[in-house]
Amino acid sequence: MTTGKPEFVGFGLGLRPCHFHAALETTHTVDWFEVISENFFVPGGKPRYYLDRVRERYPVALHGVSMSIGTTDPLDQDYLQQLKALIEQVQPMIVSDHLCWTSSGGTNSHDLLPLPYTEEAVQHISSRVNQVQDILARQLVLENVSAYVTFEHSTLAEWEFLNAITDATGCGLLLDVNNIYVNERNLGQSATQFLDHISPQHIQQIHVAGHSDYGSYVIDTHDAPVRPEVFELYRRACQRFGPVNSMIERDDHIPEFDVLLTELTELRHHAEAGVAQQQAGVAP
Amino acid sequence: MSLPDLQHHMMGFLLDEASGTPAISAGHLENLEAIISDASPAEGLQIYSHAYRARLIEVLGNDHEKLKQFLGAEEFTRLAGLFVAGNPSKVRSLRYYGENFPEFLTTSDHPEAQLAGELCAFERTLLDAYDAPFGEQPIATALQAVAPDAWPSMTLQPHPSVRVFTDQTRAIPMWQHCNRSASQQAPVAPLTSEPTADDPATNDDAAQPWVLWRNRERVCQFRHLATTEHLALHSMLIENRDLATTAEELMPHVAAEQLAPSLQQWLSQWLTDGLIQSIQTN
Repeated sequence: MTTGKPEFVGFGLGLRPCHFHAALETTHTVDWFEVISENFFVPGGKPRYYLDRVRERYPVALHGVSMSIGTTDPLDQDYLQQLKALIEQVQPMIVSDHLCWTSSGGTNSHDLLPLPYTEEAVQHISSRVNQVQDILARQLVLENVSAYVTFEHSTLAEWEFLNAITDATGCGLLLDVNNIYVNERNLGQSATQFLDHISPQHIQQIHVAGHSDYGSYVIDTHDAPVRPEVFELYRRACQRFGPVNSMIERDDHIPEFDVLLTELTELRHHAEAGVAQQQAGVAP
Repeated sequence: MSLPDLQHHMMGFLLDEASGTPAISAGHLENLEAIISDASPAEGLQIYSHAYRARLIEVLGNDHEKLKQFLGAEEFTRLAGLFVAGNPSKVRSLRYYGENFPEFLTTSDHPEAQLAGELCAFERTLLDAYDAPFGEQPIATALQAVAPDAWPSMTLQPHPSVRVFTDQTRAIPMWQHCNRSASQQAPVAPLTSEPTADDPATNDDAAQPWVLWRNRERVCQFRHLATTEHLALHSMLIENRDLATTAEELMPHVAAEQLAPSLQQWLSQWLTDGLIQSIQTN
């Protein structure tokens, strides 16, 4: 199983159905696309058709929302077999899901629910990640999630929790910079401390997204343009980690494809600024 | 608190809140508040419970646009909320969450429960056809390759997206009616009792068969089936009977001199539409 840093492909977008046509028909500067894995667990139809056409022209990353790696329910073997079949068809550059739990007792919340940062959770999740990587015969990449509660019996910082799991299993990390920002605002977890302490060698991909700011708290809605403070955190991440495959996630109030291309150009500029500072030896 | 207990209480809390009767909670909120270190635990938890309910209602609305238009946004949200309250999600993909929504609506307190349920069932059938496996869709000239003596034993394999929907309540004309007035926010006006090109039935007519499929442009399409074409299509595409057997079945319903031309016309139309994946001859 390959666990090293993947080749730097560039800057991507989450591919959503409203942009299927534009992704194929227009000349643009997107280097790769990410798709939601579960949306393609169907035998046919327009989404599958477009995924196949996009894959003919671009590298594709698979991003799941339902693996529920943190649940104490048994691993969903049927789900894993469907994911494995999709992996064989798509030959993705990265296969990711979220470091969270989504289901319990056979009921699905369809949400990315938070975990306590405990040794018990590290042991439980590491065991499951190892099983998943064996079944899929490839590295799994897990994303840090936004949270709206913290558990008092957590004994680790979020970055310690992530490092422990990636160190124990060799799985990768999908660093969601917006989620780090959201957690700083809601939970008081320092975003810069997170970036300073997370293990660089496990970072395979970066997500950047917008959120909704309600003053006393923010929600990770992915329904708005990326905020300047999140772009600034992203630049800082690039200054520390160098070039990483990065993309913009937009899941609601999705604008025209051209608008996302403009935002992607901005993402490139922040990455270039961060990488240039790293190469110049400027400390984050 | 152990990880299994935490997850049990948090899922229980989400379902309690979605049910609208948190008073029956088995202490889930109290147990969670005891282990959450934030200043206002309930505020954070409510972000999750609100999201759970809102997400499921939104999915039902996205999957059932015309139903929502028929009911009106407020009534749709009320009924969808009741469905969410009583139906914790057991599906992995939200695509399948509404599988039991038609049955729920049919037995609901809505004044037009039967029509609402069938409209919902029709939209789910469209979704089902939309996601069906890929298949070939030969054009009408494929019939020219069938030797004359092979016609009686000819059988057809339907395209995987083909579905026959039996409309008991004029749900499909209502779907079309909603589609034409997509900008309306209020409940859609009742259908007239006069048959039209899109609406072959009236309130007094028997159930009407329609065929649905995904066309070559990967768009779902549907059309009404007259009685005799329905018999032929059912025989050949659903029951997989050969042409000779189908012709025999049609004899009581079609004049003898019309039988062969009718069959040829239907076969040609089915191929033109994209209903047929392949033609088999022995």
